[in-house]
Amino acid sequence: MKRFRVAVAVLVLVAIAAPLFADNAQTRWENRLKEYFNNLLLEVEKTKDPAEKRTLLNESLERFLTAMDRVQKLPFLNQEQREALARFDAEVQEKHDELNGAAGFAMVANADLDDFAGYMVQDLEQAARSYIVLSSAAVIIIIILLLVLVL
Amino acid sequence: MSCNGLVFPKRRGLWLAAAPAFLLLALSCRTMGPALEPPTGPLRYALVFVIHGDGSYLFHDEGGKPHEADQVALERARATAEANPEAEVFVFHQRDRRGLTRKNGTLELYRNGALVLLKDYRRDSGGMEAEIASYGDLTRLGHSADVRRFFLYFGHQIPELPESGYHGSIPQALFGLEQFADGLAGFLPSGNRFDLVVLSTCNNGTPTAVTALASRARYLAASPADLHLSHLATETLHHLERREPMEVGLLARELALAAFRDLTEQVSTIVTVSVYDLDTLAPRVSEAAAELQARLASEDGLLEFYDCGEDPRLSWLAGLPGVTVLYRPPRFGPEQNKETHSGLQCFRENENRD
Repeated sequence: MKRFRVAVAVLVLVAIAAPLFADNAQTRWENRLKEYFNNLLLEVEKTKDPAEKRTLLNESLERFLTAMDRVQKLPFLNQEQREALARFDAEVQEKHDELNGAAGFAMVANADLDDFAGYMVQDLEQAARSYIVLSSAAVIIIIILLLVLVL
Repeated sequence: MSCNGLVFPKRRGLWLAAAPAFLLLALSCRTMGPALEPPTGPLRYALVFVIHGDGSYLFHDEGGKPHEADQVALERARATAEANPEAEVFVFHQRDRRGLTRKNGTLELYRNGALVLLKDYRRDSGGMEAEIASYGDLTRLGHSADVRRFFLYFGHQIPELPESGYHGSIPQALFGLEQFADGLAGFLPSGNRFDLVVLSTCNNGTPTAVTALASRARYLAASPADLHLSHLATETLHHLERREPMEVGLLARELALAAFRDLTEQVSTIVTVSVYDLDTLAPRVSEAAAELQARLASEDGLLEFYDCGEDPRLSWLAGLPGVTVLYRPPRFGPEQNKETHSGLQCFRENENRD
């Protein structure tokens, strides 16, 4: 019984200490978002057929855009958060347009699809930090929802 | 049985239970005292690295391998410190909170190419107050006028106006360019300037940065656009003693060129690095800086950054003396055919605002 009490006490102490060692929650979720785009790049590079590569990119971008639409309708967002999301949404839409030759872009050639996917990851990794700079619980909820909706 | 005056009670179970917490506490505190045989020799160069890692710095290389940009910068800073036998080098790593002590910074101090002190410290404010205090306590070059001084900052874009949310571990703390410029004075003897300040960040090659830093530095190397990986290579600063007599402007341009080559090989997004001769440039851009500050004062939304050369009111900023521009357009995107860059970044209110 004494050992049991000691074990419980140890577990309680570890449980109390664990959050102190955790990385910043927002950072962790921002990283998940970056990993999502990077996994897409790896899948595109792994795929041989250019048509399949393009479909993969299109489907992922469209899923992401749909998720962004839903997230932007969340009632608790403030003006600044709405603006940040709208700008990130515009960045993703721009990638979709370029991939398909819309909005004045020349369509990305089949031979350039891997490079385009790499560019997209690099650009969105920068954009994610630039636009989701608003440190709050709301931002974490936004990113979690985005990931839940696209995965 | 006692330890540092504490008397252990007979309830050993309680102490056994607490042992992991003490172990974690011990592991979270790091201080390395001076080396047994402290390095000696002349100290003619003072370098201060401040590496911000208190946020998301994950990036993926072309092979999809993840890296933490602040760790890459830390390794480069260490290599630079070890390759300077006549330098005193402070490497401050601002990071997230770890351990029961809640320390969110680590200092590595090098003299004559050797690590002489490693300690964790705590930051409570958005500026560099904690770093300045440590520097003041530990530097041997605090009052030396005849020393070459370099300051290198690695991190996300330093906001034009103070903003919260920059530091993950102290999210309410404010940080901005003015605070940064004021903070630089804390690392300088009265009346002195840094020979070179490097801002390895996005979008800090602006007229406001040039104006704010002119009283703190002779030369500034910074990016007037996004700087992917956020971190410039610093090998150019190895063995500064071999560069005497030193021409700092040339050194700054070499550093920028090396970083530019490095980045153009690694990324397909925009790459642009500029060197600013602040004595030449600051008086010429002060009017533009004032106009941009006025824009900021009247706007409360997100800012959109763009090349000053494309601003109908500020296009005269293109081609000014005192700016060296290294620029390569992105491989894709709306600016893939943009052939030149003024070397200065302006900003306005986001046009896509609701």
